[in-house]
Amino acid sequence: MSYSLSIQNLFFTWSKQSDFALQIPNWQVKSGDKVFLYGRSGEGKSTLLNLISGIENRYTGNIQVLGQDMAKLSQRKKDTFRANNIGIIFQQFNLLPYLSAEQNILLAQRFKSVNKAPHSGQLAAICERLELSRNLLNQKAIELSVGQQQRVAVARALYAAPALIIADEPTSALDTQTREQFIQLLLDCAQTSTVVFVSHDMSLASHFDQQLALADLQQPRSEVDAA
Amino acid sequence: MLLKLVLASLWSRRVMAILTCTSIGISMLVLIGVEHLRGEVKNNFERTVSGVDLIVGSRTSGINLLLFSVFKIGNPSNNIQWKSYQDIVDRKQVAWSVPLSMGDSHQGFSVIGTTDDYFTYFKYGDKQNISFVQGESFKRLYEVVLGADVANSLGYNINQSLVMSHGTGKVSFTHHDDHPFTVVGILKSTGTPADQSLYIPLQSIDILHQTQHIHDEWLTDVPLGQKYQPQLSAFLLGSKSKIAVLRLQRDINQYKQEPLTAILPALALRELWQIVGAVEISLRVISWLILATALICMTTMLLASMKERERELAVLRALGAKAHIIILLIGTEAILLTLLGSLAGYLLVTVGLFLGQPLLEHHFTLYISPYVELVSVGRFFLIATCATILLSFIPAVSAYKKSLISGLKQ
Repeated sequence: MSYSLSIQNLFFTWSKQSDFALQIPNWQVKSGDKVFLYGRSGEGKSTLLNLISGIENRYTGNIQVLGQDMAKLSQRKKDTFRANNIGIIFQQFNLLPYLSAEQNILLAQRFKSVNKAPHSGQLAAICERLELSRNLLNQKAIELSVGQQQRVAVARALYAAPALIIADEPTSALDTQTREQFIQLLLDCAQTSTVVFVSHDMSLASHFDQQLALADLQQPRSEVDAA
Repeated sequence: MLLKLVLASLWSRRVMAILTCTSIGISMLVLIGVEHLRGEVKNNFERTVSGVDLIVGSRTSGINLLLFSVFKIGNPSNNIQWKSYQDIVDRKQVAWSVPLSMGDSHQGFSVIGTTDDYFTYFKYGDKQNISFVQGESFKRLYEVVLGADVANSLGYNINQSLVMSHGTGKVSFTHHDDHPFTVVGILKSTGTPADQSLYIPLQSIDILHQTQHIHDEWLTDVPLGQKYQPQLSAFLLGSKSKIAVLRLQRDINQYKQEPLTAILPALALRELWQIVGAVEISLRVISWLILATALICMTTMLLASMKERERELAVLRALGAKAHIIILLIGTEAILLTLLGSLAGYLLVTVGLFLGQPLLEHHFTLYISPYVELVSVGRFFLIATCATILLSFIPAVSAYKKSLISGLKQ
């Protein structure tokens, strides 16, 4: 059985004096799984995603993403690995305001080490699915509504068909109806990818194969201190 | 792609970008301007007079004598008596002489009373002779030869009739209306103050200041030293041998009948340039400091903008942009600002010189070419770009180090 994500004996803390620590003894996510990870604010959900995507590097233990041990990669190789294999949807969508919607979608593709550019039909297909018209694609990101920005952010994450998609509370600024539509859209478009979706909104959990509380993954702090 | 990203990012911060470009442009304007003016002024100085062994005037400083006799700046301290002139030029060491008498003007251009030897012996640049573009030298009392700039500025042609004015100012209340002159020759442009003068027979200077009217005559009928013994402002001398020049200079400087000063033009020019040179060095230092300040300001601006761009750079990194992309992004932005600013500075200098050149020529008798040498500009561009590359590393590396975690946390 192949795993998209495999974590063993992970330990992360900002500093020795810090109260915060993330300790995950063992966690695996199978390829193609759609995982809903929930937890309280400040529990370390975003930090975990940063560790998985190679954005945060100060940890001990083992993190394997798509079979690649992240600790063995240099920062440069991590950047390349991220560009080639991971699609990220941020909490605030993080589109570059001065680029058009289309340029934002194509941006990640430019940073890939190998030119695995999807055929032009794929962009059209994704945009059609996400109801992104040509007119809208030509508009600057800053001119788009929140809903439109959200769809562009999804298109950016899905465009190169990454093996792993990580989403960091992308629905936190949306109303209930839009939230449902967004989740449906994301899961429909990312059928072949592994998705790790982080949120504290339990109403979305039913859309996913697995629902996990970060607290359940973690070793209690007392055990950490004792260790 | 990178350039597109840089241009789009800069456009989104265009007010700041324009201000930065302006500050670099102004500093480049000062740098290129000072350097070009320095080169042109030096060139002007060096090419103004050539082939003249001594310049003689009444007792004054060497620089003052050089300035009024060659550059037409300032006035002689006194006049030289015709007798003294005759006594000196009759010496066996003297090969040729050109007497000069100044003090009148026409529409702000100086009028020089001289002989037609002026057109034979006065040289400029690399011992180039003065030549006529139209007509010939004066042969009668009321004939005048125009310098190239005088003819161009006033639109005069051969056979034009004109009247001289008393004094050297642009505005004169005393005109020599009763002695109109006819243009018989126009000199070819030399790019020296010689272009800014009108030349009339030395005899005519005497006539202009007499109350009675004297009819036009052939110059050969009124030889100098007989009926007319005009006072001179200065005279130029050529000696038969270079060794004799120093002795002749010493003799003139010790001339008992009248206090006189004789200078070697090359030495006086060097002395003058040394005085100007101190200012020149100061100006160069100041202009380089201005450029350095502008570049440091640009780095500060880039560093300051890093804070507001943390999210933008963090997004790029999260999407897989490698370190070199981030560093290139910031570096390209800085280089682009420097090059655009430098180009603006270069264009400003060129336009400024095109517009200001006639004024410089007219007021300071300096011919400054509006065409700035591309080699020297290229050198400044290269230095500014190299400095920018070095300086932009500071914000670029800072951006790369900070961008990921702190940017995404915002």
